[in-house]
Amino acid sequence: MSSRDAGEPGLAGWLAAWLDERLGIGEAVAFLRHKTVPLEGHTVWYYFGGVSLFLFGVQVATGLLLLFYYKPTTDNAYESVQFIVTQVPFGWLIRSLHSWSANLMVFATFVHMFSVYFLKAYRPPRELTWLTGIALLALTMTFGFSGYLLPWNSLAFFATKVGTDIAALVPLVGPVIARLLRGGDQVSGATLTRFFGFHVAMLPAAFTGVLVVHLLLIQRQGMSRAIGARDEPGRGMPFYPGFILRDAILWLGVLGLLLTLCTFAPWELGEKADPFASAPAFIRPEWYFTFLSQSLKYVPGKIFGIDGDAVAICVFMIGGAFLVLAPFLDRRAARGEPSPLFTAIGIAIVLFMVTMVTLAYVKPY
Amino acid sequence: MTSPVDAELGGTARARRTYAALLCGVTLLLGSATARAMSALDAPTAGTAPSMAPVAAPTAAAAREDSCVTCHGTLADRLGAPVAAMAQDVHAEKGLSCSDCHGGDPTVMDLTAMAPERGFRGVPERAHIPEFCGRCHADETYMRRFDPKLPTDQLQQYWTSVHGQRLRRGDHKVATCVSCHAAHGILRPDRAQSPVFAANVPGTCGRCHANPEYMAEYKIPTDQVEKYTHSVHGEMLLVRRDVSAPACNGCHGNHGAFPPGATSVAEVCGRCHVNNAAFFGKSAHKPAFVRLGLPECATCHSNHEIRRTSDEMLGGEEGAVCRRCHEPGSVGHTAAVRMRDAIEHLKRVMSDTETMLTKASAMGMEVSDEQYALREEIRPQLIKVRTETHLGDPGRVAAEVDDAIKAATASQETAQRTLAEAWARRRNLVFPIALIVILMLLLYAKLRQLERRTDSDPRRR
Amino acid sequence: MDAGGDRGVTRRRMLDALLSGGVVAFLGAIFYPVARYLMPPQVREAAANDVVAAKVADVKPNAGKVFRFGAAPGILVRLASGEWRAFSAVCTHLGCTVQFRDDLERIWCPCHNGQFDVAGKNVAGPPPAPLEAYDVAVKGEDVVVSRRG
Repeated sequence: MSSRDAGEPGLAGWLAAWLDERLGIGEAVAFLRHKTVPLEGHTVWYYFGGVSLFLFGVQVATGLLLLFYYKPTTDNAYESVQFIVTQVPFGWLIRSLHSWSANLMVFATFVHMFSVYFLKAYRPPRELTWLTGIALLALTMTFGFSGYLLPWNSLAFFATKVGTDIAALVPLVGPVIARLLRGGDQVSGATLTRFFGFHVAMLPAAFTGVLVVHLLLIQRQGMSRAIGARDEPGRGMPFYPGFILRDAILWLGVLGLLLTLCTFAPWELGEKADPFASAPAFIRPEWYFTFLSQSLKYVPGKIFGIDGDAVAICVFMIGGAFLVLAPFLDRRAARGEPSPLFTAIGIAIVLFMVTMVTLAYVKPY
Repeated sequence: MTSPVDAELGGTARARRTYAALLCGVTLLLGSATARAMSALDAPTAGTAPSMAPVAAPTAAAAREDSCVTCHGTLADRLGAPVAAMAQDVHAEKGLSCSDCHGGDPTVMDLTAMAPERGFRGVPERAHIPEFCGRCHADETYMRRFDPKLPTDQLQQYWTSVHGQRLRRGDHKVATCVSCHAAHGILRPDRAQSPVFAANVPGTCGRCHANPEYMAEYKIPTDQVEKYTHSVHGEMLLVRRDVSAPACNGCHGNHGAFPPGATSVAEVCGRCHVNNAAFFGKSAHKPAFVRLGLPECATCHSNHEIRRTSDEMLGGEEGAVCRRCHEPGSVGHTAAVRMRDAIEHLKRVMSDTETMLTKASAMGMEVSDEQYALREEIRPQLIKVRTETHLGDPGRVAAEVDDAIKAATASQETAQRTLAEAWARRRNLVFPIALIVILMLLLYAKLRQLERRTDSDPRRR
Repeated sequence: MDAGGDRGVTRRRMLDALLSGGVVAFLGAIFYPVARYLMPPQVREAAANDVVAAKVADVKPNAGKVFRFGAAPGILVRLASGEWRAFSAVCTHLGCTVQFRDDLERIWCPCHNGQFDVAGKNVAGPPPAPLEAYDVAVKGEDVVVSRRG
């Protein structure tokens, strides 16, 4: 509340004044009023970072609630999730919210990443913001991968099997990574324990740490402006109230969407995993990994005498490295000039991913 | 058999073996009568009348050098083949050697080893094969030392079989022991490569019984194996490799193979299909079938081509087995229609319930209790009712069906309640969504208001 | 700003009040389900590994009882000696539910006359494998059956 509002009578006014005196809310609001968000044709893309952040909040809240009933053992994991969705009041909602918002969060994070990429917002001096962002995306996907196994249903079990198999394809360190992930040579109860540990302890700690740095960097440097945008003082949108209230409205909309999805398409539980059963005919990882798994299906067994899958994994790793290093490679953007080459590469990557994900759902074989 | 012997051969023994082989070869070239005698399966050898005297203890022969193996091991074709085949033979496994069946003296290193005075029996005539094997296999005292649980009545049973009876009458085309078990290289029946391993039995019987040329003179069908292959039992055994499913011998017996005949079909089928046979035994069909000479179960289910049963077999429509005897309008026809209708009614209630439960479950509702009841309590009742149709009593079927429907209806009501609750959740979504929309609108109004104020704020300009 | 200031202030006050109300309602709509969620439900938690199969008094010596164990039936058998045994009641042949036959003192499957002895071993008929055995413990009046580790 501004200093003017603090002068309002009544309990609210008194409370506002009391807090302002101790916390300096007025200063903060005044600061936020002066902080501006660039107002351009691309402004809509700036919201996806906020949406990702909101969805992360939903994840934390629902995740904490799920911990009250979830039991991370092969004997009880499936049954405890079943208990949550069937016996606990609103358990179905909490569980569905957690699953759905996880998926929307991955989606929003991808959109956020690509919008930053196409606007070349990674260019100096925001390289660190970009790097922490990529780290957050990787962590988000790891969150998804580890969380997918936790209900211990057969789809997740076999998807994890396939996923860790793909990890094992990485040259040299692959087998070690796969063993480390699985806690053994096979996906088993040990894997469940590990994934639980990753999902509820290590990843949240790491994510929070990187997120704080990411947000501080944005705060420190302000939001990037598109290349070639004319510098017009006063043309920006004030962070408060303009951006924050719009964010709030959007977040509410996202929450409404989430609730609708959860009610009309509650996340399935499937059948309990049976490690000794043969894999179901139709297994596929979570959609955000399908661009990987689907493209591996088209890779020939041998490329120049080397294992085809290993070559493909290397190509993906080079792709990943390219994204990480984009701010350092894109010299034109660093000079503030348009860099159509990087835009083209980005479009190619997006097209490739969209095609593969679509194929995984339309024509898996 | 060759390998253990080989392993024990010293240098001198090997030299001796070479000599013996040479000797055998020379003798054969000369066309010795003895050698020719043992060369052909069908050619009888002098003095091979089956002797029922049990052979000596088997183990001694195996350890020492065996002139049968030494000589025949070097021979080609028919004369040498048994040596190789015996390597995996169950008899060899138990320490038995050639002489334990064929007689003679394996310690003698020349052709006199096969002299009749040394107890040489040579190759049995086809008609004498059963006794040849039975010399040991029908001797309980002798067999006990290998496996006390092994039956010793195969020979006795064989003589009661159609094969045995015809053999006695001089028909040499019928199966003897070696037709199914092979002569050398006999495997235990539980070994998957054995011709009498459950899944191999239809093929083994079919070698003769599915050969129209071979069977021509017997004037019996040769399509049993073909039909069996398409039957529910054949599919279980041959495709799904469930060795508990009956092969030919499951119904016909093995050593005492005989067609079960009209009077004992129900007994045979009833050994596994207990309830069906019991109900049929109490039904009005039983005496009628006996009077008409109909082969009980096989009348409706066929014999070799027993298809997986279906509810379509019951009832008054074309294609239902009941229609073969019961004309529309007859008492039997009405009864069949009543039973079928009752079953169809139960099936409808069950499938409705299942659809509802699946839907509720897809909507995130807990219905595992009802699903369990449907699967583990009501479905067995349906199976029971299907079995009870063999009693041919529509009143009893209707009563059983009513019980099952009562249980299914209870499940259905729960499913309905659960579905209603699931729909309520969807309806109730209106409230949070309305709240969210209102809040969004209010925030938007506030935003407009604040922005208007900020725009006109002189401090910002 | 000065012109019509009163009306502006009134409208602003009203909007603020509505907004506060909305926020309070919103928070309520979040905390109500959360509170309900955190209150443990009356139902016993789903335990996959053990179940009260029967009361001791329900099963006489040389008798059996089929009970529900997770998603499949189990069979509890009380031997003539009074000893308890429990197995999966799903026949290893084609999955029918087995029952105890006191005349045979065996577990019997009505579908194809398969028989298992009271140790769960398949002893006659088509079943290809023994029944899975469970542990039984008598706790007061309850006979508790649990899966083996």
